[in-house]
Amino acid sequence: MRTFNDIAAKIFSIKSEQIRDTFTAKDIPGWDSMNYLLFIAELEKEYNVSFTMDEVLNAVSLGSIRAMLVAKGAKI
Amino acid sequence: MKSLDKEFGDIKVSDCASFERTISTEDMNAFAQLSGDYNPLHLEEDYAAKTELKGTVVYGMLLAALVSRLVGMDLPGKRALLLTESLEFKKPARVGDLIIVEGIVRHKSLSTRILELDISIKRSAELLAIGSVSVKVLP
Repeated sequence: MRTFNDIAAKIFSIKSEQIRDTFTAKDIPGWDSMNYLLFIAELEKEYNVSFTMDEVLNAVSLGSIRAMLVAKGAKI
Repeated sequence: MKSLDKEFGDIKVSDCASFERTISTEDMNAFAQLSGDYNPLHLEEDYAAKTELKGTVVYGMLLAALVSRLVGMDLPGKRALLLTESLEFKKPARVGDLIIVEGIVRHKSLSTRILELDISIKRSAELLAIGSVSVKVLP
């Protein structure tokens, strides 16, 4: 199973070891609206969870997305 | 030709679509003109016959373009916005081959309206390429 950081690194074209939970769209050049949706869809598939549209709209950082996954029981 | 118009809510995991298309010399010439790729491996039989491919090979991106047709016309059709496409070429396709392009919905994200489709491109039962696409279904 790919890790959260693996997926973020692939979608946003950044190095896995550079990833920080505090990162938002402002910190990652590859974080545009379409890539963000691809990231969410990829996480849903990988961890077999579903987000709501509100959750997707309100998540602001990688850390908040990670926390949502944990809250849904994903083992990351 | 008119594209199908599938609503996001009506699409289910494991839904599939496919079509057949025979690759012609005219297709190859049109693709060469469109892309600017006049590589002799695709167009010059004398050259290609001397390579390990033993003959001209259909452009991989011509096959990829058929995936665009699958998504844009059939699954999901009119509302499709292709986001990613990944293909791995296993065997060469040849001019004159009857190609079967098939897509199966593998994942459906309700929150993002993105579908992931598994793609296979075959000549009869012979697998020529496999891959996947991510497609957003517009409202």
